[in-house]
Amino acid sequence: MALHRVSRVSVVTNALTEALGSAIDEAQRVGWGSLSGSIRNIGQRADVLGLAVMSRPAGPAIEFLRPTLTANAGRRSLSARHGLGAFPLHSDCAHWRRPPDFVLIQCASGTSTTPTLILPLVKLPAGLESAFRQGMFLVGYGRRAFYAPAMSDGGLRFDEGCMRPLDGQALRVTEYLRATSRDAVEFHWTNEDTVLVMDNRRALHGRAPVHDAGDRRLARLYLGVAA
Amino acid sequence: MTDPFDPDALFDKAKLFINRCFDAHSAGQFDAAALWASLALEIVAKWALATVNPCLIADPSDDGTSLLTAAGLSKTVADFKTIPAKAAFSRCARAFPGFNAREAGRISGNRNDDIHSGALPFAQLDEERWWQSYWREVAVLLSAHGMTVSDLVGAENAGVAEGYITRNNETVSLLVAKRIEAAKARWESRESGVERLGGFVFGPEYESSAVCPACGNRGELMGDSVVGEQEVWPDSLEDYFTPFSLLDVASHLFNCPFCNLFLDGPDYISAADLPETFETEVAIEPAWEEYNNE
Repeated sequence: MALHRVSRVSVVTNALTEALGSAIDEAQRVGWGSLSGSIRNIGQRADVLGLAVMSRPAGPAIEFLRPTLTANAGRRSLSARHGLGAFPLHSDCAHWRRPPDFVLIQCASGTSTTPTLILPLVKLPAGLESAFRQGMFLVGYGRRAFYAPAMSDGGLRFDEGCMRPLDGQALRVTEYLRATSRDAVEFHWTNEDTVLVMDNRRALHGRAPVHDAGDRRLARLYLGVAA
Repeated sequence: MTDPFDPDALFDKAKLFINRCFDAHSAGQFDAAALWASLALEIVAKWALATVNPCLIADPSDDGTSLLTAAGLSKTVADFKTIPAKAAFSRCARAFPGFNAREAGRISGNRNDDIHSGALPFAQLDEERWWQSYWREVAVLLSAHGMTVSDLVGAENAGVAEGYITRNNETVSLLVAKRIEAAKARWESRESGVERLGGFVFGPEYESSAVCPACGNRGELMGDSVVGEQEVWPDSLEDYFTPFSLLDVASHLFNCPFCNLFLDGPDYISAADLPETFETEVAIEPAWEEYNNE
């Protein structure tokens, strides 16, 4: 799906919008893309491409992430389970009824020695297409919990932190994704201008183990295709 | 909170129950598979009704609490109660011609016996026949909303479910042929002077008649589900004030009081080449009879 829309802004923001459009196209094609720019400016220009900024209820549009020890982490966070260890591959906000379509990340601390791991799943694995669409997970907790498969409405939803497989097909999907995590590509944070754009419905992402917690501060922005 | 009457939530739950059914089915555990399947049937029936209107599955006996919630006029979702399976099946039989509430009731009866007593209802069943009948009822509910069993069970298991439906059609055709043959033999060998071998049936609301495929006499064709209605105002002056409704009713049951052929269920009616719908007249009272401006 091409997301390029009307162009009606200055040359500078036109260039940024075009770069974002290309990165989004790339992400939709292969799971992820990147561009040079400022994540804050991108958030302000996304509407030109028919994209809307999505955030947690009452949360800021841009959130900053730091490696956190288990003891200091929020009760229902990946850090609470994994601390400074590797984060398993997941899609962001899998517990939302409508997860964001794109996750944009920039290294606010300039560079980091801890790479982000990306597993593109643009095409479902042969023999498991039905299980991805049919196997049911319990998603979320308590009164807001609901059932959902790993693939619905044309997009992925998977996070073992908030999804529990409830039947044999969901279990097979979980086992497959665990086993495939070794195929994830590493994205290294070597340039402070780089913005990573991941298609949150066509790729999973995670974090390699953190060896130097002090050097990693990431800024994150969620974008959704405007209804 | 997930709305308990939300059709999507109901369908996702039905999918989960069906997945668990197939997990047990592939492990050769018929009792567990049938239990999950029977639970899924109730949810699919409620999904079919809630898709039309969530109020159709709201418990009407709680002073309107559940009805108001389903109608979106109250947010007391935690107090929402649904109608019992029996009521859901009965409504489905009226709303979705082809659905057999008696067969569905038998399936949920097996479930109730299993979970509420020490009985082993699933141990006594013909597994193949049970699945044939089960998947037919599920398919009728799904097709009422333009869906197929594949939408519920997924591509991986669709072939298994469709196989049962195909074999059900074959089995029903065979059963119906045998019943017709037996009724014909009964009728032809009746003692002289005997006018009728069977009785009349009461139950369904609407009735017409059709030629019995076994003995050639006129039998009763009955049903509850009105699929079409037309008001008729006679042209003649003497009849003009006695209008009637011409109803199209889905055939659900055939009973021949002469040879005692009895066919219960739309699939049985269809297999006997009896009309799938019939017309019947119901008198309507003209509204102006109550008006008096003398």
